[in-house]
Amino acid sequence: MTASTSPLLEVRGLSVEFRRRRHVVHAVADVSLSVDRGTTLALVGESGSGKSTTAKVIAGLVAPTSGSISIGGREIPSGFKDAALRRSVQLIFQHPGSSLDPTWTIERILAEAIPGRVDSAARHRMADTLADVGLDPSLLSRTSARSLSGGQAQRIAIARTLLADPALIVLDEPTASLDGSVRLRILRLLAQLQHDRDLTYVLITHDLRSAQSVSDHVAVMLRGRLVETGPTSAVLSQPLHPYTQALLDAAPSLDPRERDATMGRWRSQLQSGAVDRTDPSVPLRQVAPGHFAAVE
Amino acid sequence: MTDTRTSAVSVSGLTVGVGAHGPTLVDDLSFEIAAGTVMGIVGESGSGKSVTSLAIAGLLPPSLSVRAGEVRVDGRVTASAGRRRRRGNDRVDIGVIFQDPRAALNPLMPIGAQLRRSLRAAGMNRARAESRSLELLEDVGIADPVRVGQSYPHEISGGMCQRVVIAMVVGAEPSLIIADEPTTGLDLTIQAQILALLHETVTRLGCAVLLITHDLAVAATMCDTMLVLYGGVPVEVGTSAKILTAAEHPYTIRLVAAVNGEVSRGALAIDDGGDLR
Amino acid sequence: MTAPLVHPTPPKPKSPRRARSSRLNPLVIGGVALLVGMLAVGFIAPHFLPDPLATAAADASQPPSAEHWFGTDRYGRDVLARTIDAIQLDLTLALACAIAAFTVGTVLGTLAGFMGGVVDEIIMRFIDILAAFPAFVLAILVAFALGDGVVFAVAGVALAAVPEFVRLTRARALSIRRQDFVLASRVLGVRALVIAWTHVAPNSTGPAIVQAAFVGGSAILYLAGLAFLGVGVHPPQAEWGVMISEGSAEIVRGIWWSSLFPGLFILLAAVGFHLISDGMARGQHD
Repeated sequence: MTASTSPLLEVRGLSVEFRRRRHVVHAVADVSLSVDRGTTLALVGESGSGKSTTAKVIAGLVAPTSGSISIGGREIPSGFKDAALRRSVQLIFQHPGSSLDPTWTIERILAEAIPGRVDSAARHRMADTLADVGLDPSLLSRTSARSLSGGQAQRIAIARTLLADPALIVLDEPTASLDGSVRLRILRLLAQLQHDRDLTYVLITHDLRSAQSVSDHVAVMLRGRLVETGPTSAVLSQPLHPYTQALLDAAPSLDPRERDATMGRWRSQLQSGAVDRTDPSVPLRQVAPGHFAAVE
Repeated sequence: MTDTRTSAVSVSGLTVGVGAHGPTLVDDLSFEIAAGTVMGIVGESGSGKSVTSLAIAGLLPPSLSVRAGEVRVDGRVTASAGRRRRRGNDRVDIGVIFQDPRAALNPLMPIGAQLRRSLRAAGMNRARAESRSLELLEDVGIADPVRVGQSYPHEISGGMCQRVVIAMVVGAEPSLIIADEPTTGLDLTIQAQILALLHETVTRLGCAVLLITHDLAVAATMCDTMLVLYGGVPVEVGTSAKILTAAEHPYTIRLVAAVNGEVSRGALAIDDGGDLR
Repeated sequence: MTAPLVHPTPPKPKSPRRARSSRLNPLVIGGVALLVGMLAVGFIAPHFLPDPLATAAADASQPPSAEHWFGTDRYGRDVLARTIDAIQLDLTLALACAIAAFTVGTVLGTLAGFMGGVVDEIIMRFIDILAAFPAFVLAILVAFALGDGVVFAVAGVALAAVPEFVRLTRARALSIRRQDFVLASRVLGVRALVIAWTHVAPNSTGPAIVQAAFVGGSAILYLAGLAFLGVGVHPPQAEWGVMISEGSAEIVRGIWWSSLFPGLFILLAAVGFHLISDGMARGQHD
């Protein structure tokens, strides 16, 4: 990690509260992150962890209750007053089918990302981008996105995002609703694009193990708070927080030799259920270089 | 003590389609499940795996029909050509766990009442059903069975609902448990616990389990034998170890490779022969 | 111990798409055929029929005969000619009501549903007031305030139909605005009103189109009723409601043909519209 480059994304003290009928829900509590340009941060957590809300705040869809977000050193006011700044942060959704308007043609969907009129130069860009995401440019003339497979639809969504020429892309579980055989291709595509275009990713995922090959840094969230952050290799090989360990233990393995070990870990998780007893008030502290955990 | 060599489930030549002339959803499926073992049917969306589980349970909807083949559970036929539902007085011990636990529970009835009702339908008297229902809730790891017993399904979490469903299924002491994507949509840690629970049940009851899943890793951990389904056609069947390490059919090989694969960061050529489907 | 099957509710298996009842099902085709048929007759037949406005005192109130298929009214005018002559007018007015109500209603509904907040409140309170009036009363009030011409009759009936359009469209807009593709547009920086117009409105008008066909049918009835009351089309213009109004005075004398035939055509036109509406409603349920 080069010290001379300041991070592209900085989140400081982010908190998001929602008002329900009689009480307040603390979806995100005091989260601080930073992501260097050209790298990927995996934001890992289960339901209720606040990872999706954090993603939406970074993407500008939800206003934070307190805290700040900066992109490239510029603090983002809630609502992204600047159009260029708005386009520099984009979002890929979990369900590709519903992120494309069913009444629009493919060309129109892509064109929405390009400001101004759609002239032949714009069409060239769109065709090139379709090729970049592994799709046939002839798809431009398709009348509807309805008949596309999950993988194809997600590629269209990625193409649309690229056409906005962003610096940072937030990916909200981009492969969770895709078939297993397609997942790897999409992840490889994203890695390729990151390399070619110097993109920065914040990848939201519920599966810690899968973060291994796709991210540089990992941040684990539980009930709105960060419980562990650090370089992916460090966190996965030496998890410091019991919840991180629980996530690693819970992941099933494809290796038939690990069957008994995995089942054994699962059975002890069944007995202990230790996850819920985590004390939420312990703050993050640095335990090893760059590796933070909310432990005593 | 059941002879573990006995096949609890025997499926031969099962073919299911839409009506008599519509598309075929499952084509000539044959396999056996020995008592006390877990078999996994692995397939992606549209592979026909859910239709298979419904056919075996004898729960096919009116629009689908068994065109050929036969399913026997514990020696008794549950599905055969021309008959898609079990007849009223056929008593076959099958328990089914579906993907959405809330859909399996009556939203208007407290958990305990539902559990007691299913036990009483099995022939238990009121007092015995009451105590047994609390036992079952404890067995599935619910710490406060009395309080949970008084709650409604919407008041407890999805994971806990699935535990209740497992309790109901176990209470009937079935010979076969069909679990159709029982943990899809649940958190990873909850999934681990539910699957561990299911595994424990198999060990304790000695029943057979048919696990339907799209997640190859889950199948790898849970199942003794696996069957890979693609477009309604059985592509490969064998022990888990064989399928995962020495698969023969090209689709299986690609599937395992795709799920197993690594994404190396940095420059690489995208091997994009198009998506598998 | 054999135990019965535990019966949790099974989910629908992913069966391949069954043959959908498409939007162009027999009901819709039937309704369109009926209306188009009537329009065609309305265009062509007058060339072969006597002048609908020509009076002939000598032939007044004649029952249906070989010469006058539908008989004559009390001014000696050929009822068939007048009934046919009214087709174009009645259908056009009904269509105008439907289109006007649809346009105003869906725009207001989209704005209310998508923008929410104060805009939503203002629009919905206005709609509540409007919906409180029965259609006839509203139309008569409009006529009272603005005049009893045709345009105001149409406006009055359309106004009465607006609330339902607003409610239908607003409900859809509320759910559409949470969809990922709307969020995606926001993330791209597209302005709210543009999103409302290009994304929310097109996806929210499904139920409104069904309602529009239904309103077309109802409008025929309301317009006929208003004409009967003297609001809208006035005699001697041939219009079904006007004809019934004129014929009503004669019914007690046993002269049924001057009222029945226009009434039958009102029925036919209303059925045509409602067939389309019903057919589309069924088609949308898939």
